[in-house]
Amino acid sequence: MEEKKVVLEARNMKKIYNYQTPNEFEALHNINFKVYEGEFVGIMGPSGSGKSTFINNISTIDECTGGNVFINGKNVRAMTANEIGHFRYENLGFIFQDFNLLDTHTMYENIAMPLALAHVSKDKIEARVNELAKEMKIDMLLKKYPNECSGGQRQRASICRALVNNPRIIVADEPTGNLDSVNSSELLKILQELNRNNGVTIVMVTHDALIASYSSRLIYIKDGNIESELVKGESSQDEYFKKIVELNSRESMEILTK
Amino acid sequence: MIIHDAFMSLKNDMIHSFFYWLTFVISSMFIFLFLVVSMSDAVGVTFVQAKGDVATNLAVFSSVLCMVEIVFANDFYVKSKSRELAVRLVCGATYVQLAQYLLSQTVFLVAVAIPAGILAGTICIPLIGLLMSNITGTAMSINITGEALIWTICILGFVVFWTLILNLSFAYRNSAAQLLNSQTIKTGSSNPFLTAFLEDLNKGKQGTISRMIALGMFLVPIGLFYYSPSASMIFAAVSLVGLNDLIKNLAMPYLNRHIEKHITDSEKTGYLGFVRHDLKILKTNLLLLIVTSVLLITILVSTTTATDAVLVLITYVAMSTLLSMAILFRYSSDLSFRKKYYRTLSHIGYMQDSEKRMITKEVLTFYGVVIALILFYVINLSASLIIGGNLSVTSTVVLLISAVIPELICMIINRSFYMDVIFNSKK
Repeated sequence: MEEKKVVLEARNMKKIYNYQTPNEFEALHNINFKVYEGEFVGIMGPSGSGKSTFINNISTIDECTGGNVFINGKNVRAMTANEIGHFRYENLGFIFQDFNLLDTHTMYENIAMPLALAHVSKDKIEARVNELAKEMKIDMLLKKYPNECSGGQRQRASICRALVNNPRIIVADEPTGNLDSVNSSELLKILQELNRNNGVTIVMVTHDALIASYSSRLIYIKDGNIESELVKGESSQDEYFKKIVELNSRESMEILTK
Repeated sequence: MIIHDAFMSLKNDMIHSFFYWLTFVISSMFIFLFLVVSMSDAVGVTFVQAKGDVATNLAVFSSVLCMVEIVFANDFYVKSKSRELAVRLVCGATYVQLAQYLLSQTVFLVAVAIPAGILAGTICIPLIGLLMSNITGTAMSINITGEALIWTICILGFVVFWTLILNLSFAYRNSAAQLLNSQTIKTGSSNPFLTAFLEDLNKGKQGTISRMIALGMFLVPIGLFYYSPSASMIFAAVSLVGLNDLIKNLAMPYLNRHIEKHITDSEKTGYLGFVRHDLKILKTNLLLLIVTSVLLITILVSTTTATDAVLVLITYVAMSTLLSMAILFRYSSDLSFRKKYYRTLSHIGYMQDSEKRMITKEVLTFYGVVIALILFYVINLSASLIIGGNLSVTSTVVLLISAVIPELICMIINRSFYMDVIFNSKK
């Protein structure tokens, strides 16, 4: 059987905030972790457990204090800033809870930026942005500025921007945090289709067990360590969802009984 | 406790605090400088016995302009504090406590700024005396009077009181939720009459006609400078209404189309979007700079003595500097928001070299527009006055240099500060 390719790997990854100051705080402790091509990895954990730190460090947004991160077998520490930049617009799509859109640019310009970086032609940019915007129901808002739109509309624009260059890896930090249930469900279906049909690797942080049940593997982080891991395998989504709820309850009970 | 928190807030938000403080320093310096000159025996006028002469009018004009600049700076400063204000409101702070909080920050900054401004003014006064003596050929010594000092403190005290009222109404108009979400803030800073007038102007007119009218309103009064230079201030006022409309209805749509046309150019999309935003937030400062230049040039040609002419020229240089610095301060204060945008650009895949080029191009384009517009007005007005024999070529050169040099210096400082804020913060 052919072994799956590792796209992201953390070896002894450590993150220390305020390093070498009196307020030093170790947010991640020697994490070892692999993401295989085509996986849909969910990341859960209590508030302050280090989920966002974890996702930022394995996706080049932040630099780890110790250990190494490998992307497609290449050590991020050995990559130049330009190589990281190329890698981001060619392979990565980011979705953040707080949208991270530029209020100085229209929704159209925000969504088109990754394509402009990839030197896609004007016609193709227009077609791709319009197609995605229509899919995400923001095609009427493309000429508006983000601060003229609602939170849900802005999140959909940030999702469009993350998907516009057909990335090989999507990194999402609480992507449904500002969406209603209908839009959340639509987004998850889009992510699932991208994962199943196009083989896009997805790493997603969420608080919601139902949303996590769309993943194929779940990592539970607590106090900067990987505490548990669940693999969906042959389970149905319902069964997988129940396992995730049980895992969360068990972990929560541990905190309560401490 | 409130005063301690206010000081901590000043310390934690150094960029905004520094530029707000610097606005006070420069304003107090100019107010003091012009009051000393207008009240000095050498110029022969006292403020209390003012008879509407040039020196007194210039002192009043400069003081008003400085006050307006402080109010602009305060407006921006308070908006940057809206989140803090919201948290205090949510925690149960009353409007009196909010007033105390903001007032203690302003009073502290003013208290530190006044001595610095007066010291800077005191250093400049002998230089102005020397300059006036050399140009007029009459020995002139300008003495510092206690009256000027008292009036400077009174004027600044009045501005602090005024800003307090504005800040309180700002907090009162906006709920905590609106303050937390800065996009929905009701600023109340735009002139409702002017806004209504401009909206009416656009009603019922389709794109091109509306833009042609704006273009006409902008250009025709400039042409009338040549027909009647003495009425140029009125023509300039009409032209500025046209320019305001033109920026909104022609420049902005043009920039939108241009960005869309060159959407494949990632750098252009980035920096032109920022320039578009700069023009929006700094339009008022730009219009004020132009109207001040035109007003002072028209006053210059109406002077009858060499002393008055030199005074007007000094005012012109001082006000060009003040207003250029106001643009720099406002621009620089906005940079704290840009940090987040540049972080996002990096996440998307923009490279540092590309981001540096974008910053340079943005600053060059923006200041290029500012300088071009100022020169357009000053050159046309000066040319009309030269043709009419009311202005010498030498004076014109001085006016042009005085208009451009402060902008160029501010542009260099701005670019350097921009780079520092973005790239040091990303480390």
